[in-house]
Amino acid sequence: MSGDQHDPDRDAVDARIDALARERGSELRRPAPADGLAHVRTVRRRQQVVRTAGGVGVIALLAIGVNAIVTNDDGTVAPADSVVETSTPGTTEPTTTAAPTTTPGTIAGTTPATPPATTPATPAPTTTPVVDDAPNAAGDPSALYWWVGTDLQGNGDQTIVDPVTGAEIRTEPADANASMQAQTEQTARFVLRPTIDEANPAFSYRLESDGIGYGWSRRPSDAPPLAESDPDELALYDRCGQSELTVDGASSSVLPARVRNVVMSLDRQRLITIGGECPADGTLVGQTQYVAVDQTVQVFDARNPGAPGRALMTTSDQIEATFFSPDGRYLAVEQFTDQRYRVFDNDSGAEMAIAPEGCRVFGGRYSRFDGPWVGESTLVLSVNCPDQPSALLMVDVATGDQLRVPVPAGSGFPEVSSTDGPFLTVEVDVAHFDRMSNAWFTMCAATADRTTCWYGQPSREPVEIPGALEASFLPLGFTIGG
Amino acid sequence: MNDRELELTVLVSFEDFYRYQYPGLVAVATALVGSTETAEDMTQDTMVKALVRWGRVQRLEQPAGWAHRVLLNACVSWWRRRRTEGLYLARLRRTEPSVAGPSPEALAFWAAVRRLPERQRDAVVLHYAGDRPVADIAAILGVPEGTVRSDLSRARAALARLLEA
Repeated sequence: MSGDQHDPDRDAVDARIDALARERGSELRRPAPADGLAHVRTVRRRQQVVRTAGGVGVIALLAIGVNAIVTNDDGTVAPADSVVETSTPGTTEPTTTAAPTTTPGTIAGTTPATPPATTPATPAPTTTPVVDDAPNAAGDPSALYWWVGTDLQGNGDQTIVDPVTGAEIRTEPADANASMQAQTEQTARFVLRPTIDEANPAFSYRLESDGIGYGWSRRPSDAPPLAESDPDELALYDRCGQSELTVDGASSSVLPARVRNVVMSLDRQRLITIGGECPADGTLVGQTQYVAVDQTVQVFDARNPGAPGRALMTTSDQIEATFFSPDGRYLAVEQFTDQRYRVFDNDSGAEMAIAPEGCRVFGGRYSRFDGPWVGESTLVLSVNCPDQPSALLMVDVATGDQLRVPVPAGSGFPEVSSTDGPFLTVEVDVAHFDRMSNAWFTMCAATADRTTCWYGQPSREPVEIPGALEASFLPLGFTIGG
Repeated sequence: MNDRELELTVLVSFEDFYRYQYPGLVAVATALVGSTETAEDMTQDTMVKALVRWGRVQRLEQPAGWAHRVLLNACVSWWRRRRTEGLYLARLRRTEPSVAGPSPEALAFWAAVRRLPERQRDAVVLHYAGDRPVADIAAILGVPEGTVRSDLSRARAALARLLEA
């Protein structure tokens, strides 16, 4: 049918759907709530908090972060060649660490945070390509798959490919449930999940270490709901969304009485609590609503809850995720507002510098849910630095070794870091990871109208994957949303 | 009045931006995530981000377009998080919602919209829920206006099949 010919039936259907869509759309539009503007301004003020603590200088950490974001928005970035850059400690002049976060005085039961010592220098990346002739000791990944479906809920076909030869093995419908199960089984190697009592109306979590049990709830067990919500969402509760922390099997405990979350290291030796002091009148919070209370991350000896802990950081931002390194020595914390990662040495309390000044570091593809760690102490992140293309960044926090893989030149991908979040999603094959120089990786760059994915190893040129929206390694089998 | 004063008089105040853009943003979010309360939270979060960067955002050619782009990204992130958290969160079931939300017919319609290809879905949500004109949608999504019209046309045809299935 030519463009000048009209199908009356088709036109009628089109008009009917158009009218229906307009009606359904108007149902969703609602006026701004009366107190909404005030709430936005309150949240904004809290993001500009200035802290002081006896004798320590005034710091406006978040304000500095915000300013840095604004500056980066207006900067321009020159394209760079697609080279793999590595660096090792001791090759550059020392740099200072990120501005320390002060704690609001000594927290009961803890020792004050040790002023961060100057950590090993964050070396500036070199431009020397890496040539790694050594075979991957853990073996090449069994397969690589990429997903081409466009359904937001993960329905579509996935193609399985041998990444070494590039040969297509098969194409099959994506199974989101199987993918999620594979993801859970794989990442259990790196993340210790609490046991969950789903039968308990309070929906309790529990972690154990050496006969000592730590229990807390998803919602406060002793506070009545203040407002109910949609059946698919958790109800809103007072007490800043915190619940009582119970400790059994120990003679004493100095852990905080109420927490938002508890995380334990894989070896069950260390434990961190996240929580803070709530306002006297309480605060309504929901699943995604901003928590109007300062949160402190503290690390304790999980085998001896009576021993004083150490405060690592305090923030007025919502803490999105925390993960111990597999060796338990470090803690990675992702903040909600700017989605950036901060890393701490649990023994000294020092904050580790993992990227040069002015760069923004974001999690990898699933780091918010399964952690950014691989190996014993290696982080897999994406990084946006001024005047440089976005890149996959691997950092061994213990040694300071880094490896940076920029988005290939000529990809058409905008090379300006975005304050709205990272455009680059990255992933490393954790199942076969033995060292950074051998790591198989995938990365996807997104613009408004297209997504481009690549895969490779540091010793190989990244290979573009036509038409893929996501690319992952089996047996992880991730799909979108999984 | 000097040039600076003139410039400031034509800039939108955040208050006006908030009140005028909120209905469209919350409608877009509701269409994409299917939950009224979550949509309101995400819209508020988007407005906080706008306020943080207001000095720059208000000088953009389309401040509303910026906000819609931020919201679209947030909705995608929400879907990813929700599927994973589904393993660890209980859903509290009630016999009836206490907060009035979209009709069942509307929920079913937007559930069908969410099955569309990404760009068609975004175009439909922005046009019919967000009430954005084609030119605005083209700017938000970074595509030509003709592409938006084509996507909307294809989307309507696809929805006709989905809704009649």
